[in-house]
Amino acid sequence: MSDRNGHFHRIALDGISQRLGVGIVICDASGDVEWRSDGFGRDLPRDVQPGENFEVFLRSLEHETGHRAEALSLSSEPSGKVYRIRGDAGEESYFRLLSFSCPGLRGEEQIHYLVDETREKELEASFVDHLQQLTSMKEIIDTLYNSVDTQEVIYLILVAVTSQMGFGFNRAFYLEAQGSQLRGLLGIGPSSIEDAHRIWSRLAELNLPNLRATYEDLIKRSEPPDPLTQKLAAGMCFPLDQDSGLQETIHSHRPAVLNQRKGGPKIDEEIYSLLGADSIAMVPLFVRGKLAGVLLADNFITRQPILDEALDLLGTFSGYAGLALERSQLYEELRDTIEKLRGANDRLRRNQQRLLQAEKLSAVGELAAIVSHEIRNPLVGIGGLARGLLRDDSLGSSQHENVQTIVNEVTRLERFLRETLDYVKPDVEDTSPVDVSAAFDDCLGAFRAEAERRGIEVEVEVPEEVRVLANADLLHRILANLIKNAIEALGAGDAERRIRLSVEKDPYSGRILIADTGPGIPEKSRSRVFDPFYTTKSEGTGLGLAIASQGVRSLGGQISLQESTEFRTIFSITLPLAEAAQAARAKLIAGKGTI
Amino acid sequence: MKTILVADDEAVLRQLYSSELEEQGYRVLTASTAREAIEIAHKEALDLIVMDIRMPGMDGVEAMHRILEENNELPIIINTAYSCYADSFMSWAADAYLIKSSDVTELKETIDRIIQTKSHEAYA
Repeated sequence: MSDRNGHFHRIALDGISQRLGVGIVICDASGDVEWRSDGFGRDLPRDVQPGENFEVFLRSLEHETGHRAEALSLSSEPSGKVYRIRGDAGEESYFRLLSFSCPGLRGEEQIHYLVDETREKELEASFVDHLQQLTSMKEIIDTLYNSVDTQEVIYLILVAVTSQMGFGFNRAFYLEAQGSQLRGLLGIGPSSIEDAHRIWSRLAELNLPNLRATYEDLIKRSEPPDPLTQKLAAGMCFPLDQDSGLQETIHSHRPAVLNQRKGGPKIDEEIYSLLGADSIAMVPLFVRGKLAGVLLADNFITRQPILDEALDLLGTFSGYAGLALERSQLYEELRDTIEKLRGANDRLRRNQQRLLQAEKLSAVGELAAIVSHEIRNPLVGIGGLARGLLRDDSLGSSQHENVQTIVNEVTRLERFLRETLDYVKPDVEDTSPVDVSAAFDDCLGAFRAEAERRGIEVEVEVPEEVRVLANADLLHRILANLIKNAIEALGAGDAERRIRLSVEKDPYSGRILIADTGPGIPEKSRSRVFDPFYTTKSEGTGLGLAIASQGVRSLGGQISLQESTEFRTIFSITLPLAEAAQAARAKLIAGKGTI
Repeated sequence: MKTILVADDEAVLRQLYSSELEEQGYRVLTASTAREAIEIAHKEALDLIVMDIRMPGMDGVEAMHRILEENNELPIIINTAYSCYADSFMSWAADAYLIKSSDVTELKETIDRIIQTKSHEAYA
């Protein structure tokens, strides 16, 4: 190759070198630099000069400690050697040196070329970073999703925000949206530099493997983890009205950095003075599209700035945190509902058993009272007249003896009545003041579902508080029987199916009215409705009204059957008013003088 | 002579109480229903009523309340085959509550005691 050709080659190589951004050096067989492309050493601490031994230059590069930089050999690979150059400001660039030999004008020549790999290295580092972030995020999300307790989820969110395995903030707070306010619920993190030193060196020592372990370490400690931070959280309360600065961030649905000096979203000064920080990350959390709460995080100890990148990550995290909260809340709602249903079911079963038992007892009592009444009247006649005969002197001794036997037998039967049937009579119940409205509520609970199933509308009218003197259990049974009776009276064919429970009072008594829009009770049956086993309906035992009437009587009250144009059947129960009962009795006794 | 009204739907018992009380020296009137008792109480100057509770139509307790509305001083004894009304507040207005017995001694004693107390009050 002629020199002229060689010259052209060098010009071509320069062009290629510039276009590709690759520096090229050509050395002779002894390794001295024959030629280098323009700008070969532009990004190196110093450039190589023609005539300089390239090996010596490279070694000098490796030990360069000049004011600009140091160059370090990183690796020696078949594909070349990579150099890291650290600039004044700490910025790093990477170069790969590749070499090959080829026959040249003066024998074998070495050609070296230098490729700038800084960009690739940056991409690689960023890829590794992102991968790490994704892995941490996945672990955090897995941990959050493994919890179904809302309080625990909130705790875990705060641990994730403050842990080195998570976002590494110094401190974090959770404020819950309650109506038009944000109220501090939980806070974790140190409250002072000493505190920070103590907590962080302890955590470093423990070297806990994951977030869950960090959380468990936090809650298992006997003393509250961060009492002052917790106290600070409890004291937080910010308004959420339209004028509040917080609204701005919340509306954006994105995290923001509140910065006292740089402005940022307009915010109440109170938040900075309360936290003692001038830069605070604020992350709104949404559950089913509604603001559930706000996360606040700061670096009030280390004073590290909050980077945009960290804020972006927090934004991604907040979506998952909201889902975790939603999940735990749904789970808790479900658990509460199941709990309530279970309770209602238990109560229903207990009430049914009680009602059944009470019905049996009342039926026995009612029957006993009727039998006792029906037997006692003729016995009194027989016995009374026989006693009159005993006083008759004209009776012979055997006749006298026979009449005496009649008297004795009647006396024996009367004693039997007293000792047996009177004994099982429904006792006069222990009474105490009972709120009628509460009794309605208590009773309707068991019937609402049935009424709804049959399309019956149930109205309750209690214009003022009425407290009657009664036995709450017994009044419950009475009302239950009457409501059941009303429901059964309303046939499916009736156009209007309505039941109304109401109460009114006069100075002495309360009147409870149970009315229904059913067909009413036929005139001929009206006098017998309270008799046991008497019924005009297709369903029922015929005992309900007898039990109710017996119950009312044993409470010292009265029950009657009425009707109006609106309601064909109205059962009216009169019971003494609690407050007036004693006074009324005293008045009657005083008025009559004797009892 | 003191006049006593016996209200009871059982004819045998009206007969029994009449003879027993007349023997005791009382003038005895009888009623077989509550409404009849109210009418007699309205017309006659009575000294005491012996009232049954369960009678056809209106019961004795309601009759007692109506009679007392007109004359609060008139003594009334409830005499019934039912034991369960004894403590009923509807019966509080009665001067005594007795459960019917073939032995009328308690009834007679109660009547005597109440009438004597009333006479004593009247003279006092």
